[in-house]
Amino acid sequence: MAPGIFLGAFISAASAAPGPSDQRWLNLVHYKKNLWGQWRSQADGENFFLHPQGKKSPVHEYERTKELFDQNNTEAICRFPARYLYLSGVNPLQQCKEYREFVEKLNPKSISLIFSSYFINSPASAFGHTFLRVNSSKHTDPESSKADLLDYGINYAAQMDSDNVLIYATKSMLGLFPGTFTAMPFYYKVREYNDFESRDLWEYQLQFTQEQIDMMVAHMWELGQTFFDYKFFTENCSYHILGILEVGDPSLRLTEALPSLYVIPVDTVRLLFDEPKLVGGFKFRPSVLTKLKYSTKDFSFEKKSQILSWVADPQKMISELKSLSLQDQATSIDATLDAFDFINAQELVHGPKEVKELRHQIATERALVDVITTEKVPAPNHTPQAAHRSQRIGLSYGELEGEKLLRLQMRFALHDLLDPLPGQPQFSEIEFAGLNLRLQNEKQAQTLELDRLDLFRVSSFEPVTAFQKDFSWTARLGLRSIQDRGCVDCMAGHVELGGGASVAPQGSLSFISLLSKLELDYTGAFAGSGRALLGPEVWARLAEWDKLSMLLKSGYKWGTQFDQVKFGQGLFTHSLELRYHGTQSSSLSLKGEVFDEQRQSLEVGLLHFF
Amino acid sequence: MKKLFFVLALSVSSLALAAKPYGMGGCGLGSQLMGKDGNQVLAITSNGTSGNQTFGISSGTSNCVTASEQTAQIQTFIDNNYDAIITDMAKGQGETIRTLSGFYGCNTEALGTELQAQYAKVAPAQADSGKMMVNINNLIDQSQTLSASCTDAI
Repeated sequence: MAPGIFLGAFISAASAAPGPSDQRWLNLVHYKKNLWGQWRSQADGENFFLHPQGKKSPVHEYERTKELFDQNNTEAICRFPARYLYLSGVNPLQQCKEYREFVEKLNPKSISLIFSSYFINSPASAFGHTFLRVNSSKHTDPESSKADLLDYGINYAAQMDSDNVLIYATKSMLGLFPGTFTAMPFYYKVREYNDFESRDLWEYQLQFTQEQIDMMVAHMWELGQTFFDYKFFTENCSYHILGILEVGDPSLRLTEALPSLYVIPVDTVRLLFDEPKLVGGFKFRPSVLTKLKYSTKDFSFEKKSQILSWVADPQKMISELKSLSLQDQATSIDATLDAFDFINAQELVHGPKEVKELRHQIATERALVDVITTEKVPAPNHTPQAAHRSQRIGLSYGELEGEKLLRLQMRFALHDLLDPLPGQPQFSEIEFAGLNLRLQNEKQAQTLELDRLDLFRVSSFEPVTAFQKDFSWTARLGLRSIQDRGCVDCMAGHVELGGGASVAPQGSLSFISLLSKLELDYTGAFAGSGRALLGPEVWARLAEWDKLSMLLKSGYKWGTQFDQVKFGQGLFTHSLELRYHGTQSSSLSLKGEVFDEQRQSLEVGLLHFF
Repeated sequence: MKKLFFVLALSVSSLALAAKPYGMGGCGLGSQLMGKDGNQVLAITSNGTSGNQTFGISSGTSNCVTASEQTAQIQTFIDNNYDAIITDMAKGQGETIRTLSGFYGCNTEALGTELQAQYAKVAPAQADSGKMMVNINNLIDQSQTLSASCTDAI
């Protein structure tokens, strides 16, 4: 294919000449090679292509685009301003009125990538979310920007046609929802994430030239008219956001560096930092909960209880404030407002109206205190870019009731309670597809046995505080090899459900949790094809040091087989695991387990994140 | 990436926001489609006359928009950020005050101090966003320091 410069326009000398195999062209039409080495565009809307074979053929699409542009076809040019900019070097602002208005509205001067962190007590959101913000300023001083809230967020998400959670989950995993790009003022996102869902936002200022920014904005315009099948694990929000950045700077290799099986937003944040000089800086935008934790960090329990009573009864606040100094009045009311917003996050959006009136009384009182508080919530040391990688393999060696064993484990995602905490949900764990194999000498023969297969394991241990009354819970589904005296080495379908409450010292990541636990094991080895175990469990995590974490689980359970409900003598189970996080990508593990009075194991191993 | 279990709550919230005349096309607050084959991004401009999506944005370009567009922008901003604005006014500072000062071309500190001092006038009980905007306009008009400093006042 002869690379042609057409329209006699200026082509940047630094970049290769345009052509159907040029990386920039492939990026613009989102071509990727499929398993058989054929090009396929990931775009699924027909109108994203000018040639009928465009989805499959970079060459046909290129030729047809060039042909239409050569004919000065306004319709094609205005639908694909980025292609036009790429092929001719001219941004078709003059020619395309609606596109011009779009660019004028955005007034693009810089680009930020926004990471929305986890939603507390909803480990399903542990994956976070990313989107772009087109800044109308150079954004050299994010702390004093007057325009951030009005700047446009560019978001990629599934267009759901169902409110049913199960239908949503199934369809998004199968890629049956169309995913589309939308633009909206950033304040909608701030109100939604920071205030309504109490999620911290991290804004990463990206370093692009104005030329690159113009190209990305032109491409956003192109993307606005099409859709991509939304795939929860792979072609999700974070994936396509990276695709836009690659259009801006084709030397970036972001989507290629991603794992092929799934894309986790926090992984994409780390990828940005792998590119030299891409990230210029970042800004932390605290959620309403983070604000509340900060504004009450020096308060005693009594003071917090007082604040809580003020939230419910502003008149009580007004009468009790009188005894405080002006400065204390200001900080107390500020904390009351934060507490009010956290506790009433839902009500402030849905009503009733009286909630707004109560809030108004508190704010009115605050305005009477002639103190301007300027204290800002500092960014936590635990940044998303410092998060450990989500896939993990492990190898350990030890003894199970006197027999030597070697254990292999593999986990696809994401985080358990003992993994390094930076950038991850602090009191939750979420694991998908965890496989655990055991190599053991049994009767002089080597056997490789499945020890566990977790389809998922999800837990939330958000501690109860004066302001948060979250329920702690854990759920697990998979297969396990039973190790207690009920049925040693029996493979069983396994379900675990637990609920309770957790407490933690102020500001600490250590916690202790008391749960009621139900475990079900389905196997023909038991009468009635299964058994149930029921009883209390204590989980305690010690996480006072960055490099060391420890988790103790102790429980007592009564068991019954399914054929008749008859609980026999109970069973004590204990496990204690220590992890030392030697490097950012590996941890040493020491784990002891007591399955029943007779059967114990002790293992030492190495875990590696990748 | 969308959360699995929170979708329900979100879709409920979208109802509350969709009730407003200038609901924005977008996900998150509930995926209000702009039309089956509509260009989502185009929605910013095609829907421009409703006021919501016509932002002059930074102070540098705010002269480019007409007074009525400016008014619509400010009211939409106040409407969607009402609680945050109340808090920032009561505290005398905050990002929404900064944004407002960008609209009016004010000095941020001066506007914050004045809004806090005149809070009861600007944000009386049950003031809606329209009333609040009128009150802010009046405040800027009537305050000597502000009317001198707010170069883009309406």
